[in-house]
Amino acid sequence: MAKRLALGFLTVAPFAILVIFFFTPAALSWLFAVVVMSFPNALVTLAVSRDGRVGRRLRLPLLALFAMLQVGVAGVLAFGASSVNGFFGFPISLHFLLLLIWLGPLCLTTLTYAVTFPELGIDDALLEQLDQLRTTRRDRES
Amino acid sequence: MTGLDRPLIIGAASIYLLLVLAVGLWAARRTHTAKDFWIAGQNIGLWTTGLATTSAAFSGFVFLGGPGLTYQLGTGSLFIVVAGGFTASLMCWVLAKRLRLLAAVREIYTIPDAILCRYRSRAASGIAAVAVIVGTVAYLGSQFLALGRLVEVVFGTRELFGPQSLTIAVTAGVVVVVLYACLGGMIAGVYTDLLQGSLMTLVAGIVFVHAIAEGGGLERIATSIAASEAFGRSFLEPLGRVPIWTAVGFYFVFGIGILGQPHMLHKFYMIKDPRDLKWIPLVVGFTQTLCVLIWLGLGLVVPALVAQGRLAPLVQPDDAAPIYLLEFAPTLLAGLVFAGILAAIMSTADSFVNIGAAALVRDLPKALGRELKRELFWGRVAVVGIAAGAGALAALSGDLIAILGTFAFGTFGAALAPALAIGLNWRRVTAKAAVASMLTGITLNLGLELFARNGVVLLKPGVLSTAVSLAASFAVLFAVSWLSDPEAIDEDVAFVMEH
Repeated sequence: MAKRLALGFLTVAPFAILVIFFFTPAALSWLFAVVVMSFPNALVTLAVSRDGRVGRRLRLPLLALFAMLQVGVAGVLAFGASSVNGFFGFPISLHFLLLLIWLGPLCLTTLTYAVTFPELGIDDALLEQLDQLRTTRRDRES
Repeated sequence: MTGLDRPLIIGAASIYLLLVLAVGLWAARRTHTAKDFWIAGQNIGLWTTGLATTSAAFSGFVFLGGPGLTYQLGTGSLFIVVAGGFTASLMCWVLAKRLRLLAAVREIYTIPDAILCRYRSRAASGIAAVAVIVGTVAYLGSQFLALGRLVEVVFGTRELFGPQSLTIAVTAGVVVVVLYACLGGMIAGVYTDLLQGSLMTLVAGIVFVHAIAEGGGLERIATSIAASEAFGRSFLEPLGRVPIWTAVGFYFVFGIGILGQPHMLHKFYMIKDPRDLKWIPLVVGFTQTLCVLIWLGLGLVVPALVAQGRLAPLVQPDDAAPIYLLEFAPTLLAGLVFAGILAAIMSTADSFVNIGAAALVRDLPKALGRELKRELFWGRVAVVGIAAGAGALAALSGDLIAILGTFAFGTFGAALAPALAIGLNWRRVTAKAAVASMLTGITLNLGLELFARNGVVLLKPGVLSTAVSLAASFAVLFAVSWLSDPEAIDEDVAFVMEH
């Protein structure tokens, strides 16, 4: 299901981006941001799905990444023209960019990758199987 | 003021160049086979792979162009680097494991090699090799031009050689890169990258702290920029000076296009133990973030210093970093930073020299159904050829090559990202789809750029041609895949894709 969703999104999204670029008025430019910010999640989902599903330990971090990027870009768009300041006198829209689109995903994804690495299955058994495949192929070729 | 007036700057840059040459000589004694030359014998540890990936990714553009771009566009320019929040993990999830495991079952040294294995199509691998060569020459030319300009500033060659200065400076830079890349191949490349990546990370962190202190702290920087007529509050707002098409377009091109950057992906073949991939996103992500601090720090402090009346407005935005270093940084720090910028440029250049040479003597002949017998020898010859060609282009064509360099990233992204990122994770992608997608990426990217430069406006203001070509390349890949018949995949490649 997750893989199908990701593939569905990745099939439609590039066409949507092209339509937005060429035919959509500037007032709907936020659609472009929403589609682009969903792209990383779809790609990761496609890559980590096994039998069409995302592993249990990856589901929450991927949802969190999706939420962070969407809220981040919504914040940049919503507070773009406001005079509200955050820390150190910088506009609050810059905080959304730096914290939710940059540093938040950085911490979340790098740690998630390390923690869930065993689920990717690179272990002694897999490396042995790869060795066997290599040997079989060499034997066949020689 | 040039570096000639400050001997410490020349000293630091000279020591750095000698160190790099020493690493090249050391690596030359360890380079015996084509595998050593192209992928460092597949014998590289975690930290070296991580720092080599960071230093290959971050060229002089981050250290010189970044602060200049922020001076010009405001904080909207940060959309280029904030994608770095997920790109290290994205690369590892989507491609690193697949590429490294493919290199465990097949003799794979390059990205076109991986494409040949995946699609069993010499046409696909040949087009990938052409994309790599086109992008490499453009990228390399722009790196050599930046290197030449930096050598001019640091060593004062303009005063010594007049109009011939740039040619001499570019030649000097090319000779150093060629010497170590030719002698030591990728072993020299990754170990100099380790040195260069460490230097870049250290320097960026120190400059950030120094710049913020020089500007009077973050709060004073923000208030002086917001209060100035030249910059104003819009400078600090991410979408204040950049249309959303451009800002989010930067994010799309640099965030997703990264999946087609051969100089970074190539590093994943080299890691000795695939289990070390576990820590790569942490190492790459955080070292890249440290490097980006120089972009953020100088990008904010130079406008603040102009707003505070302590610095004259810049004539050329790209002068932001050099002027700050020469006017405000202590000599020792300036020397270190110039060495760091040299490191950033040379580490990217050596990666490109290697992959460009591999595309020329390995991938293209393979695509044409031939294989060179003395690959190590011809590899060394090709390194000299590629570097000399790009260096000559840089010295002769001046700004044109710099312009080409700016969209080389987009060319790689549009041509290679869909075929690799989707193709290695979804069996339904066919060779026809990969070929169509790569051709779309290359031709659209070059075509739209050429049209734009000749005054033919096809896109809305602010829409990036590279974003259009990247989206079109993905669209074509999916459309052709769904429309064409499924194709068989070799058993070992299918095994790698399923695990």
